[in-house]
Formats: sequence, structure tokens, C-alpha cells
Amino acid sequence: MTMNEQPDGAESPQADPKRYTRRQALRWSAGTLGALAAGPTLLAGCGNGSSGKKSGGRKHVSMWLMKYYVPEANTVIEKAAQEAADKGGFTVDIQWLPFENSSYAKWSAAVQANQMPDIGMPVGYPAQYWAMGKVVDVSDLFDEIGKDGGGWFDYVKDDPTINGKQWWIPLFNETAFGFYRKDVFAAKGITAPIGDLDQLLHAAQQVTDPAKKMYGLGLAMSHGDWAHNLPPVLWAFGASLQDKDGRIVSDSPEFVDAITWYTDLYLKYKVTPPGAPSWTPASNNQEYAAGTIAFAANTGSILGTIRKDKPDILKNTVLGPWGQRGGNGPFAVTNLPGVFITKTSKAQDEAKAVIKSIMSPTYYKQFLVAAQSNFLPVLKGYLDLPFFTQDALNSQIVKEILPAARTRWWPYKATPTFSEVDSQVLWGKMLQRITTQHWSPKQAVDEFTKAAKDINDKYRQLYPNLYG
Amino acid sequence: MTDESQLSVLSSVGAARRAHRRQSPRRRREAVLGYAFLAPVTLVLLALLGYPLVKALIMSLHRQYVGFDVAPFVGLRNYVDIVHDPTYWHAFQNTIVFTVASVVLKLGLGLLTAIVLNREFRGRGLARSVVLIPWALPTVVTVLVWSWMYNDSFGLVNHLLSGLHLAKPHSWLGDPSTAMPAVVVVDVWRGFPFFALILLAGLQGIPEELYEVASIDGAGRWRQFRYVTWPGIATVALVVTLLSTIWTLNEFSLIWVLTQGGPGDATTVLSVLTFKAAFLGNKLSYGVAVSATLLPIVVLLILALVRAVNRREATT
Amino acid sequence: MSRAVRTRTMKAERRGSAVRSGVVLALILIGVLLPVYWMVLTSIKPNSELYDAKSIMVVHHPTATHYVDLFATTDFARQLVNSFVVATSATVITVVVGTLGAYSIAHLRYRGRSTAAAGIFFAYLVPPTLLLIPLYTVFAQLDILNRWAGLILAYLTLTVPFCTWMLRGYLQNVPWELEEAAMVDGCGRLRALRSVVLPLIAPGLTAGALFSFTLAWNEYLYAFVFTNKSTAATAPVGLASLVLGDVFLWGQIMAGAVVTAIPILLIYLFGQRFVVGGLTAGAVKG
Repeated sequence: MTMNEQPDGAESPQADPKRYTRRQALRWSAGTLGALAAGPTLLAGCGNGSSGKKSGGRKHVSMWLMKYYVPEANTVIEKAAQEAADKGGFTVDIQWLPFENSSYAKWSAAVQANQMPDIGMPVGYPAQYWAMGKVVDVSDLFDEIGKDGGGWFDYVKDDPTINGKQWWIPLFNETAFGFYRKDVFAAKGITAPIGDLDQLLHAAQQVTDPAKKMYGLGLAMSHGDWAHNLPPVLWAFGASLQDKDGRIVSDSPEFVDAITWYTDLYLKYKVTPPGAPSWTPASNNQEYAAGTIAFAANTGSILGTIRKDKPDILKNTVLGPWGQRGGNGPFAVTNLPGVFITKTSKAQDEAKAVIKSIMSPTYYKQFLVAAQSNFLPVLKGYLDLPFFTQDALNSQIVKEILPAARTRWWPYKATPTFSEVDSQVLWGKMLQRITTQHWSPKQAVDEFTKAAKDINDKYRQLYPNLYG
Repeated sequence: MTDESQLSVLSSVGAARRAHRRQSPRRRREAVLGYAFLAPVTLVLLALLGYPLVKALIMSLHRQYVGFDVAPFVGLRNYVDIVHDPTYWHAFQNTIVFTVASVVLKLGLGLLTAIVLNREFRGRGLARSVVLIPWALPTVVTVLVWSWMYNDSFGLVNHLLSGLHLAKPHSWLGDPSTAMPAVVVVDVWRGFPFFALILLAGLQGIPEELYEVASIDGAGRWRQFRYVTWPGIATVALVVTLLSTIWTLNEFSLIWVLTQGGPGDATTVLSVLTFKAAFLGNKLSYGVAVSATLLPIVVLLILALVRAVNRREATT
Repeated sequence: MSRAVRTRTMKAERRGSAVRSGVVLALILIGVLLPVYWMVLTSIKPNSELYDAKSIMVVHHPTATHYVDLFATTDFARQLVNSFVVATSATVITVVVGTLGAYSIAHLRYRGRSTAAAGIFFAYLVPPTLLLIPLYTVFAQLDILNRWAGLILAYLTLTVPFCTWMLRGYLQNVPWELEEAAMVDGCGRLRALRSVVLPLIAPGLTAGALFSFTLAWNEYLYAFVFTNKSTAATAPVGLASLVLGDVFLWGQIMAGAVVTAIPILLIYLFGQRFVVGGLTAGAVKG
């Protein structure tokens, strides 16, 4: 093997036994060590180039973005970034991170080693990186983009604003709403969409028929898509995780009522599929596409799937906000993925140019069309695009759903608290306690609240400036 | 091997050692060569494992959050907190259950596989390679495939079981009483070929004559296994079992991707707890301390392994 | 003593159980192959049949789309190359370093030898999750993130200890009189090592190489954390990136899995004889 190629091959076979001496031994090990040291260096040299460094005197912008589920939209972002780089005479690369545990590990390692990318869309929410003091003020950029795009929606503008300045740029609205199989409901004489919660439950009971593999409500009893399923129900009952001052209020009677109503769908009324406690975020997409559920609450990702592969189901789908009860609702839940520029970046102006190009009218229009209503505009100027006005479902989305949208952390802001309650899968744990481990809703909510309060206390101490 | 032959081997080893000691210049040269040859492996391990381990242990004595430059020294505070944390003990219990169940099954299934593959039949070479497939697949794919197989609506598991009228469709990963067994099945599926491989090799080292003698003596198949097969592979089995125990204790990706430690915390093992604390909860030092609590167990396992192997060496 | 004694014919008394063990083997093979069958099936299933409870075990309109898309729309080809380079380099270095270390602790006498032997195994003390951040920091300082070198070094932590111990077991089976004889004939020790010892432990070297290659080829967490560009990533990272939030590109994931598994399977098919011989001696003796 490799060893046979060592230079010692030249040694005379007549050498007396003493000849394999210290010198020879050292040569051997030095050779090996040399190979060890030189090997990686050589490989590195012919390897893949480095990020965050100037190459040939040109500056470089590295971006980490979360890999959202519409490849075509990601491609537009890549094109926009590349155009900015070409115009500005610098280079750019984008790393798309998957939505899973290893992305948290990667961000933690990068922060600890001070190796963050120039532009980042973190796997949690950006506020934490502001609190750590890792991001720069982008108020000017925020204003410019707003002006070019017909102005930001108000709730979008609030999101990156801390102490009167903006620290990241929301890229799009990832809005979730109800998907209804109008044919299934119509068979029982019910007209979808059904925004009201009690009516929705009643309708679900009518259409549920396990023998025919049909369940009324595709709502997860796990962490899978909790953020699209739970908030409208909580809000309908007047509950939320945090109040508008950031206190944890999940131990309120309203919260317990909402969770009881929600888990009863599975335990008492049995209108959700029996596998709901083990659902992943992809399950409701798959079940809806398979035609086994009559209602799902999700982003446009379901629409994407059935548009491509299930035209018969697409034809029979109507959309709408949901979660109406008493005077509340109906609602759509939204998330605002945003990008920040890091303080350690050596190409901050270039990074701004990249973001500006992505949000420029030319590319943003392309982005919205490519996103096929999976992602909706954060800027008011794009609502009358032909793409939205000329398609029945799309126009329903921007006319009825987008105005009903609230960020999932409403009425407070996106904080590390909210992010960690999510990433520690506390929502799912609470639902599973009730649906699979026979805990009472009160018990499960108490456990949830205690954990959420611990997290909140931790971050209030760590980041006093963020929680104000 | 009889006692006398062991003794004679031992004494001849001793004689060889004494002879070595007498030739001292030669011994010195040998030592130089020995250290030189040991240098690369030592260097690799010290730099890539020793240094990070020491760094990590020091970190566990501080209060270190992700993204903070200042980390106050807190002594054993993290460890004290861990001992008083019921979540920790629950995860500890899960870790033991997962590890023991998984390793025992891997050993049992691996042994069974090795025994049937040790027979002569046509296509044996192919069968041996096919059995290795689960070990050859990237773990990330294995886990994705199984999580889909467990899917209650479109999964293979429910499809087959209900097709064969063995069980009603069930949410295997969603039910706390079946989640842990379901996770263990995946780990066993992926890991047993490695056991089979090594045990098969051990079986091949047992002389056929021993079986002949045993069967002439009228030993049944169980007694043959007990007195011929098992002694012949005991050391191999021990080594592979202990090694696999260490790897299984640290298993993370498989469990996290399948269940994220749920439902509830039915499958939360210590590696999941470490990950949650360190990377989701930003409490780096606490997470490190959680995983450091496994070190004594691993040290004991390794010492047992080294002792067993050395004893074997001494008797060969 | 016994490796020379290879498998032989079965005794008549034991033939009666041949049927039973045939059944057991069949069950095991079914257990192993069912998920694999499903994997291959999914890789040639059109998306429209994917979420259809009626076609779980069959495919009605097989398609090569997923394979074509995988290579046409992603960096998977490049990632396979990266995987190959990284796995091969890690394997070569592991075998070299492991052989030297094993030779040293198995055959050469010096103070601290047994401590070193035990110390090598203590390397497995460190859970990989614990190593992530310190290694990341070091690699960042060396500027080998995103490069093959970083991953190669990271994989050595997993492969070197096991291989060293396995080769140590092999070396203990070597009849050292042969080496002595060669040295008396005038060979230096190194020449004797090359021309006498290494050929004798060739199966062990093969087994160690296969073990290292498999491990490095399939590893995910380090590969994901230590690379920041899809062109620098390895195949398992590429596969994982086909999970797009809510949407799993099952067809492409399975196509990628099949492609990734093929080289390893070929290696096993050819190297299987050596693996069996190799791992055993190592495990028995050390």
C-alpha cells in the first residue's frame, strides 16, 4: 500500500541489523507525518475554495438561508444574488440549510467559532442574534426597499424593529390557512369554507368515515405543523403563549379550554386520523394529497403538491381563514422569514446590495410567481400582480387570507423564548401527553407552562435589552 | 485449550520477555521505533480528540451560553443541577432501556444470522453481502425510509401487518408504549449486520472436529452450542458487544429524526437531552455536562473490554 | 490456530436442521430486503402514485425522472465526488497510521506500551456531539472548513482507534519467526515489515479499509456542520437537503440512496471474503 512507496525502498538489503536505526525510524515517521500534514493541505489547495475570503482581490458574500420548499423560488433568489454580485464586482454563494436539528448545531458552532456568514436567515428567529450583538442596523436598507415596493405591511414593519431601528429584512410572508375539500363537505350538504370552529367540528363529524379512510380534520396532535394548526384555535378562545408584554400566560383558563377543545378532536370526537399524534410537518400535506382528510391547515405547500400531482383534488379545494369563535377570527397564521447582516462580515455593503437585489421589483415579482402562493408578499405594492388577480385561488389568498394574517407569536414579538418553546418541541409534547399518555389537559398545560416560563426567565436574564 | 498448554504458552511468553530484557541496546532501538510508529496515531488522537475533550470538560465547569464571550466559572454547579433534574433521570432510564434492548437484540439476531450463514449452501457469498446492506446504507437514508415505513397511512409496516391480519393499523411512533420498541427496531435493523459479520468470522475459527467430538459424546445441539460454539466466539462477542454498547449509548440522529424524543418524552435519551440543552436551549455547558455524565459508564466498559482482551491475549 | 481451518461440510446429524435454518435465513433476508425493495420501488415511482394507499407495494408506471432530476437539478454528482475523495483519503491515512500504531503496540517492546494501547480505545469516550464545537473552532482557525481536509481529519477520529485495535489483533497472529528470519538474512526491520509482515496481514488491511470507507462514506453530522456550500458537501448531506420543510422529495431521496449504496455494495461483494477474515482476527485478538 502507501507504505511500499516510502523512500526506504532504496535501502540496501545488505544493511546490517543495526542499520534500521533511529535515523531510519525517524525518517519513516517523519515521512508519515509529512504525508499527514501535507495531504490535507494539498487537498485543501485543490479543494473547494474558501468562503468569506477575498478571492483574487474581489470581496465575497456568503449567505445561509433556510431551504424552503419551493425550489423554483430558491432559484430566483440565487439569480438575484448573482446579479448583484456581477454588477458590484464581488462573488456570492448561498448555502441552503435544511429544517432540522443539524442546522441548529451548525449555527451554534458558527457563532461560537465566530464564523458566521455575511448574510443569515437563522433556523430560529433573528431576534436572538440581535440580542447577542451579532447583527448590524439595516434601517436605511429597510426604508429603501419599502419605498420601492409600495410600503411594508404594518405587522411586517413591527417585526424587525427594536428600539426604533430595523435589524433584519423580512423576505416573505409564509402564511397558513385552511384547505377544504368542498366536494366532501358538499356531499353532506355543507358549504366550505367553514370559518367557525363549532360548525367546523360539526361538519367534520358528518364527513368522518374511517371505513372509507376519510377524516374530517387533518390537524396534528404532535409537533408537526403545530404553528399552522394551533394558533387559530388559541386565538379563537382568546388565548396565547405570551401576552403583549411578553409574560407567559399559557396557564390561563382560556388556554386550557383551547387545548381541551383541540385534543378532544382526537380523543372524544375522533375526527382526526388515528396517526395524528405522530404526524410530522409533512403528514398533513401527504394525507391531503392522498384524499384522506377533508380539512388541513397549512401554508401553500399543500397547494404546490396538488397542483403538480393531484389535479382532481385541486379542482375540489377551497381556501379560507379559520378559527372563528364568538367575536374572534377567523385567522390566518403567518411567519416572516428574515435575513440579517452580521457584524463580522467584511462585505457589508455588498451584502446589502445582494438583499436589495432580491427585494427589487424585477426579482421580487419573479420570486412571487415562482413561489406559487406558497410565499406571499411582505410589501403592499405586489397585491395587484396579474398572478394574484387572474387566478381564483390566488386572488382568494391575497384578498381574504392575507388581511386576516397574524404572526404566530402574536400579540408579542418573535423572541428567543418563542423560538425555543418551538424548537424544544414543547407544543407537541403537550399534545402528545394528552392524546397518548392520558394526561388531563390541565396537567399537560401546567407542564408546558412551567417549561415555557423557565425558558422565558432564562432569556430575560440573558438578553435584558431585547425584552425591554 | 487445556490448562497445561496454557501454562506452557505462558511460560514461553515469559521466557521471550526475559530474553528481550537482556538485549538492551536492541531494546532501546526497538523502543525508539516503537515510539516513532506510535507517534502518528497518538498525534491524531490527541489533537482531534484529547484536546476537544479537555476543552469540553473545562467548559462544563463554566456557565457558557451560545454567543456569549463571558462564561463565569461555576465549579460543579452544572452537575449538581443535573442530579436534581428529574428530566435527566428519565432520559437516563430511557438511555439504558434503549441501549440494553438494542444491543441484546443486535447480538441475538447477529448470532442467529451468523449461524445460518456459516452453513454451506449455494449463493452463500451473495447472501452474506445482502445481509450487509443495512449497514452499508447512509444512516440519514435509513432513518428517513423507516420513518416513512412507520407512517400510519402510507407506511409499509401497517400495510403488511393489516394485510396479513396481524395487527390493526397503528401509529407506531405516536404511541408512547410502542415508540421505544419502534426506534429499537430501526437501530437493530441497521446494526445487526455488523454483529453478524464479526460473529460469523468467529464461528469460522471453530474447528469442525470439536463438533464431531461433541456429537460422538452425545451432546444435543443446545449442549453443542453451550460447550463448543459459545466458548469459541465468547471473546469476539464480548468485544463487539461492548463496542456497540458505547456507540449505542451515544446514538442521537436516529432517535431524533424518528421521534424528536417523543411522544411526550418516551424516547428522550441523554444524547437527545444534550442536544436540546446545548443547541436548542443555548446552554452549551449544561449540555456538555449532561453528556459527560456518561463518561464513567463508558470508562468502565472500556476497562472491562481491555481487561477481557488482555486476558484472552495472555491465554493464547 | 484456527483461521486456517475453514468451513467444511456439515455433519449428517446436523443436516436435519438445514431446512429450519433455511427458513430462518429466508426470514432474515426478507427483513433486510423489504425496506430496500421499498426504497428502490419509491425511487422509480411517479409522484402521483406516491401518496396512494393502494400502490404501496407496487409501481404502475415506473419512471427514471427522479434519477435524472437528482443529477440534473442538484449538485449530487459533485457531492458523490467529494464523498469519494474524502472517504478514500480518510481510508488511506487510517490504514497507514493504524498499521504503524498497531505494529508498535503489538510487536515492539517499550515502556508505556499497554497504556498507549488502552489509551487508543479511550478515544471512543468522546461523544461526537461534544466534539462539534471545539473541532469547528480548530478547523476555522486552520481554514479547512468547506474543504476535504476538514472532513478527512474529522473522520480519522472515528476510524483510527478501531482500525488500530483490529490490526493489532492481526499482527498478533503473525509468526514473528518469519520476520526474524528475514532480518537475519540481512533485511532491515522496515524492509522485513514491508515484505514479510504486511503481506501476511493483507486481509486485515482490507477489512480496516472497508470499515473506514463505509463510515466516512455514510457520515452526516460532521459533513453537514463542517461544509457551507452544496458543492463542498458530501452525498449524505445532499440527500438530507432534499427534505424541504414540509415537502419530502421522496423519489429523489430514494434515488440518491440507491446511487450512494451501490459503490459500498460492490466493494462488499468483492471484499466480503477479506472482511470476514479480517474483522474476525482483529476482534478475537484485540
